[in-house]
Amino acid sequence: MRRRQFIHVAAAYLLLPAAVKPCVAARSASKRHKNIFFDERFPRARLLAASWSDVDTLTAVQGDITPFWSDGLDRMCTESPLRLRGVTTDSFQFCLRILVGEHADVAAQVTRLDQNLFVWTMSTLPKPNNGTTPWQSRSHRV
Amino acid sequence: MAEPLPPGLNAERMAEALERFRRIVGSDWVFAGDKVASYDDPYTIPNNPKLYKAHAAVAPASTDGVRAIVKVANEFHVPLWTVSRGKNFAYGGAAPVLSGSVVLDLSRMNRILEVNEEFGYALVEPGVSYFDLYQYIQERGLKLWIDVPDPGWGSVVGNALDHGVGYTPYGDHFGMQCGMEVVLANGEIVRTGMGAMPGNNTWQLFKYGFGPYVDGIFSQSNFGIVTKMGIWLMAEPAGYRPYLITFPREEDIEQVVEIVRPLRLNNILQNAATIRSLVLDAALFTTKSQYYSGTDPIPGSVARQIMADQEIGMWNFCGALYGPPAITDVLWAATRDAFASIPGVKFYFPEDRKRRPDILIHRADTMKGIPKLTEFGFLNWNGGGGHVGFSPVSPITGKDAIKQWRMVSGRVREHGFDYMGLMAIGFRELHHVTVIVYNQNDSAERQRLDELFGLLVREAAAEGYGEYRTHIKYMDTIAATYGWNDNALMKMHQTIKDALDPNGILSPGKSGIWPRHLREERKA
Repeated sequence: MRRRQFIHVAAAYLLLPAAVKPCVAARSASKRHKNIFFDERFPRARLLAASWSDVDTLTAVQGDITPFWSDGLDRMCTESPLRLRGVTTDSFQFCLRILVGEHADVAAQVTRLDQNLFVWTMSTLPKPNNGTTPWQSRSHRV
Repeated sequence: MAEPLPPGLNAERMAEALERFRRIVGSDWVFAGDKVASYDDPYTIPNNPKLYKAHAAVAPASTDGVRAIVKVANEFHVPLWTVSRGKNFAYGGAAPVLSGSVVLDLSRMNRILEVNEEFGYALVEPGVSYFDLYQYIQERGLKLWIDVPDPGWGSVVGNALDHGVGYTPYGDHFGMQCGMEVVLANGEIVRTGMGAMPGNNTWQLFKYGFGPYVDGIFSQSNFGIVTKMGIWLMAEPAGYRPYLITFPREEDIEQVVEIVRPLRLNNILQNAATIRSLVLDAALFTTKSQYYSGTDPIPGSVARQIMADQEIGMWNFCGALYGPPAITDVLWAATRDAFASIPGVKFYFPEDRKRRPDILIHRADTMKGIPKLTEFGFLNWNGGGGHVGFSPVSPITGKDAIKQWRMVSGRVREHGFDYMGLMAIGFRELHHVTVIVYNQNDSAERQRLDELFGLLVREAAAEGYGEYRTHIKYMDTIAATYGWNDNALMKMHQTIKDALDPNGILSPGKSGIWPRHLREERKA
């Protein structure tokens, strides 16, 4: 990491509300997050996401969950536990939480960072089959 | 906080009823304690946490399960608040009007029972979302389009029942429903229209059957539980051309709507097109603080900057042409010529739009029935908020449009909110939907919103404008504005309610309709 970038990252961390810091620290010491989302419209989000050391996949977003959900997240959250993390706008984390919650039990922690951004983590555990015949196998008149 | 109990039911009886529900659906599908929170209204308005709070939820997987639950509910007098998928956000989500109700969550009933390409319809259960139906059609390569509202995660059945709208020529969702299966409060199953005839094969083709047409009484109501519904689907057209027309001044709305009316009546405008305000469109992809540091509504100079940056207008008319080019070329020429007289008007096709993300590129998807969640972006305008819709209906006239816009935008701005409105063009009417985005964590702001909403309802009603749909908090308020002839319509609703649901177990308070025992209790 270049010196200038390090200073930006350090500054971004220092600007975090106190409530966020323990969460960030605790997470970085525990399991890695498979997917990290940051809102690329906001430099602060970019810097903060870059500062997280437990990154497997860093994904730039712009507020709309739709393309990411239909591009594999929908399937992933039904198949295995996920550890998701992000610094995004509220709508992104809200929609993600609701969508994931249909297929998995979700433990979420959300903290407001500033006027636009929220820092969040979500740990998911797939729900059992919902007990109905999957609609994919049905297409006939009753 | 312990979950509230409904009037007249103690904790022991409720626990007994929940145990009976568990025997019907299995213990995994009765939700109580901390699992009830997922049924709360995520965009709550009142500051009293005891209001609009479910006691528990039960999720059956079949019509037989619904019947069995209804029988137990009758025995124990448990009020059931029915939701299809519980995604009616901005109108209360899955939360009940009556605190202590048990949410009857139909989201497990998610079978697509039939999609018929030859005749263009689907038969679905309430748990089927727009995403589900779209995916089903795409995977099979069927030449059919669905019509979607802005949030694609909603229920096809639930949205139609709540009179939701979309943006293709099939945008009137309840208008496109054909044939229902309904569980009545006594547990009896009714099929409407042609579905009442054994062996009939036109249940999803002809709405009316024989005798009174009853489907309407199960929409926005609490007279029965719809467990299956037919919905007409649009045949994939031979061509599709979405467009955006922008207008630079707020006052242009008068002339725009005057132009729209004859175009719509003559079917030159083919789809349920919308005219959206600057901030509503801008907020999808930007936030207020990127342009303005004040907490008051944005000033004109900022509005003009946003217009320039995003290549949009103070009003933005998104429409689409459907059919072979020989037809759409003619329709476009007529549309363009009609609007060309408005000073500063600009016309765009998707290929003209270079910015990404872009409003027309996004709406080009929704106007061809691709489900998305993009519209939730406007909640970020003020940095993350709740929203509620104020939706009065008017004729499609310029005079009504500008009058409504002045009334509503003036009050909204007076109360410190930015005006975020759209005018959706129906077959004969105009829905003026104003979205009020508020900070859900600020109790003072919620109070201000509540006062604003009450004022808007009263002032609109005084001018003869009624709302077509509303949040659970305002159902009584809106119902009271439909009071012609000493509340004759509500009296009729109550008569039907008492006849079909004498114990008043189904969704008490839905659309302002209360069962007899709660009417009397509320009076007292």
